[in-house]
Amino acid sequence: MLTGLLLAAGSAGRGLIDLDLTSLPLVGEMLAEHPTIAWPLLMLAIGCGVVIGYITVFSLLAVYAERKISAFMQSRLGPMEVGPYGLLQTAADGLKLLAKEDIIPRDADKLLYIIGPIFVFTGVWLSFVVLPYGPDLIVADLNVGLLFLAAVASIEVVGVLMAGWASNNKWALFGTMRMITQLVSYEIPIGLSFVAVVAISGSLSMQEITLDQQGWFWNWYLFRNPFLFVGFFLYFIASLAETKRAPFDLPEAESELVAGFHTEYTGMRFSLFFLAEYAAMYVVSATAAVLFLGGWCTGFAFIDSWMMESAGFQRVLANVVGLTSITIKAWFLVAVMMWLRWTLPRIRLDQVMYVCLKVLLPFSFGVLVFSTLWELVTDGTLFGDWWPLFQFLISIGGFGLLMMNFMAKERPYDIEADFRPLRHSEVHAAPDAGARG
Amino acid sequence: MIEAGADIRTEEFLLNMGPQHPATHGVLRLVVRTDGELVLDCECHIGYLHRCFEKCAEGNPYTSVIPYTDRMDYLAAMCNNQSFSLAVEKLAKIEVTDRARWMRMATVELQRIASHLMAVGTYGLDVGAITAFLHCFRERERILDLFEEMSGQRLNYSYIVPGGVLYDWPDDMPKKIENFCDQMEVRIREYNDLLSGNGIFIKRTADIGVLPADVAIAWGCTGPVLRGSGIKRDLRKDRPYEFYDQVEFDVPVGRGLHGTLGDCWDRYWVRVQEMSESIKIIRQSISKYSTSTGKYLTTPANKQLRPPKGEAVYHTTENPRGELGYYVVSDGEPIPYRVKARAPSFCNVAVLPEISRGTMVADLVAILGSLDIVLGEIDR
Amino acid sequence: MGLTASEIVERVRAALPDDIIVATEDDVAEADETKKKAPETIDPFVLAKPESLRKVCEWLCYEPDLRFDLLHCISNIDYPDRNVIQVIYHLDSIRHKHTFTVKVDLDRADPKVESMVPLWPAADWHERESFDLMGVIHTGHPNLKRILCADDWVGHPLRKDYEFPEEYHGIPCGPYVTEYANIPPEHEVWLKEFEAEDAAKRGGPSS
Repeated sequence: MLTGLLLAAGSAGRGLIDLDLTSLPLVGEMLAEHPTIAWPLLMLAIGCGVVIGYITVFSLLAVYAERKISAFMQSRLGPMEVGPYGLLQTAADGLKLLAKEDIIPRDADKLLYIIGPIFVFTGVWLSFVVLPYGPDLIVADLNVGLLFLAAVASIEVVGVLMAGWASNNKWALFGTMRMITQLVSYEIPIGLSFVAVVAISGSLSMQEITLDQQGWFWNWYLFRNPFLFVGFFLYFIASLAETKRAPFDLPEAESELVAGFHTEYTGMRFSLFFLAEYAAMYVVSATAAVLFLGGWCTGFAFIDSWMMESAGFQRVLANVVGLTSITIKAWFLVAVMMWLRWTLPRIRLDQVMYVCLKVLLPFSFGVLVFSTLWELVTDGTLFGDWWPLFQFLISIGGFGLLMMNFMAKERPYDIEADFRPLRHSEVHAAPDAGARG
Repeated sequence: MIEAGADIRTEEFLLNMGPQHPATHGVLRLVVRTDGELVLDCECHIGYLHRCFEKCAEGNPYTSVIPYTDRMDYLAAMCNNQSFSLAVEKLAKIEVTDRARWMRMATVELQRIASHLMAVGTYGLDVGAITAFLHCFRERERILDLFEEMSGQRLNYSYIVPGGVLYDWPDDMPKKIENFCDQMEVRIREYNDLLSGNGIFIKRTADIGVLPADVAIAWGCTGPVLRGSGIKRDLRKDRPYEFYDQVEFDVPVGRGLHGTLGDCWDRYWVRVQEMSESIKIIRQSISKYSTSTGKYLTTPANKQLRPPKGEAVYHTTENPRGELGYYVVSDGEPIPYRVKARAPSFCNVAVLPEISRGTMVADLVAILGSLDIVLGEIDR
Repeated sequence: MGLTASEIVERVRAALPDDIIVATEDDVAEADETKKKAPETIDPFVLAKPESLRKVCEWLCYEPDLRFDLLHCISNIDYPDRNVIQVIYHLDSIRHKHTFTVKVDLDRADPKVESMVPLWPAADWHERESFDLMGVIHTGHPNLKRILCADDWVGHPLRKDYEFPEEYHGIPCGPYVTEYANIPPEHEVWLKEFEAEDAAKRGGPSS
């Protein structure tokens, strides 16, 4: 969070504080001699540092939050020993991981074993490049931002395959095969959810998608039409599978596969996987926030218009507000992910594939087709300026009806009634135990 | 271009599950032959915890064998003590007072709840629901607190001995047990909300690992595993020992509520229901205990027992995991000539290869969890 | 409840008179002198001839009003003094809710008896255990190998004349592991004192 704030202050304050990098001795020389190469390189280095810092800080906080949330759900205290309320526990764990012996199994494929975790981490890390945090806070506002996001997310698959195969461990291989099956399949519903949003926004740039959702919160794509409302939930479920969170955590199901593809990894290499997993949680949550929940927009028209019009120091403040807004949204989704993980059992591989291919995929197609049709028919202005509000009410109402229908549906059996087993005398003799003879 | 299936070599995968594996509940080793995720065959290898309890028992006085029985089914140590004590009492013709019998029944049923809590909790863990496990442990902890107050121990109690129980209860013990029962009834409902009715949990357990009644009997399965297959057999009803013929309770059996009769969910559900039946027994035992009189122990615990020469008894009791039998042979010496334990988990786990063929690896874990084995008892 | 054990003994004696040796305690007294040392049981039982054990068990398993469908346990006892290994089959009927015991005496030098796996699959592991710990050969068993001890273990531990190996692959084992462990001499003295004290407290060493 602190790093994020610094980032906000630093990049947004470019106009205010004229940081003269050219005055630094070595850097200044290079900048003067090769301006076309050195400037991008310098910015890249700063960007990399900032993103890595952000990932690390986020992961530390997320691990702490995960442990505390799980503890509260399980009526215990969680980490309490290191630092006040155990706040430094995850930092201590990180230090421990750094200090651990780095073991490479004798029969492992050394090269692939070493670069596997780097690939996995790089994939997630690159995703941060296109995530917008405020009106000016984006490392690179690519015009193909969403496509870039989908592309770099699949690098993880390659890294996992390398790591799992190179470990030369049957459990790791099992986990790898599960993981790859799952990741490759779930990229389709995720991609379709992207397309549904892009069809409305007309742009692949993350910043433009955000700007399109400015104003009151019913302008968010979540409430844009009833179908996108469903699309959000489809995306969220698919993203759970994409980040291998429960109930889709079967690539590393500890009761079945010990630890999945990273069974053989120790120390820093393991923590790279660990960081990547938590960073991926943040990436999919922030993406969901950008695509459906207005990104860094606050949901209040007057604040949003002030954010866009402000200048000077107010602009810095606007960026901080934007950063806070998207962080709250992303953290909310991350918290929901944790909540689900500590509540639900794990599903089986064939059920994972069933959910993807027979439920999410057709529904995602439906969302894409019907939400574009809806846009075509209503043209965004069916009832004048108040149309977005109507759409919001329609979406919420439809969802409410759906939930009521779901709640009213009878349970498969009545727990209370079943709680009373048959009387001893009611039961007939035991069935014939053996057809032999 | 490669034609699909033409040049691609496939081979079976031999997976060594255990002896160190989180799902095997101890040191069971399964050699699983798989085709991808499909289990073609599995073979159990046991004995990693073998310490030859039967040989140890041949070198110790009768009362010194009790601590060894603790370590068989360490999750239900009270029941093991009781089973062995009953066998020795029958052999040496020791009388037990009514009060001690009611005390035993209440403790054993508390132990049954504790054991089933462990079974239900770890079953949730096996299918990936971690929270239910810790909620179950919270209640199990309360039972262990009660046991600690009774016996001074938290896991291996050696509390029930030939002739009664080792220590008298504190005065407020009945009240504390009553309080626990009141809370437990609410908690069971909580577990049902958390696990029993959970859609994913049902999807993972219903229709999985179906154990037909005739297969269960042929393989010697007993306890919740047999009852889950729809057979109403409970030694507490069929061959009452202690005062089980004087208390009212039902024997829950599997009914295939979510799928086939005898699937994993049925076995799980039998255990959940048995917990509430045990509460009933505890309540009745406590009220009878308050009105009964007599010493808690009739023979001193360190007295040398010399059962008559040439006698042997086979005594079976209904343990949380099935029917535990002790075959005790005396030759007139203060140490038994031969002790043989019939461990319920030993017979229950033998059926695993039968019912796990053709399932998936994840199902294998679910089936193993539903059999609820304790390796201390299998390996003895 | 089903039949009592004594009623079952009568049924067996009437139906299979040639296949059983002794059935009740009176029979034991009538039988030859060496058998007198055999421990009787509180419950009545049937002592079958080794060669006709399968026939007796089959009859007990399939007779409609007996139907012993559950093989509860297979125990075995070593009697070195009369050169016999006794194998005991505890049977149970889930249908009729009665129990019964069948015993068979085997020659200690060559304990062979027919496997009961075709009748009750439950016998599989019990017979493997019986072979492992007592050395009884159950002929016709599909997979008769050690189950609890390691595959390369020598001897059958539950025999009365079994001698503990001093070590197993370099691991000291046996009943008194402390002897093999590296105990300083002063500790050994202390241990002996402690044992003597303990024995005095218990009123003399057991046995």
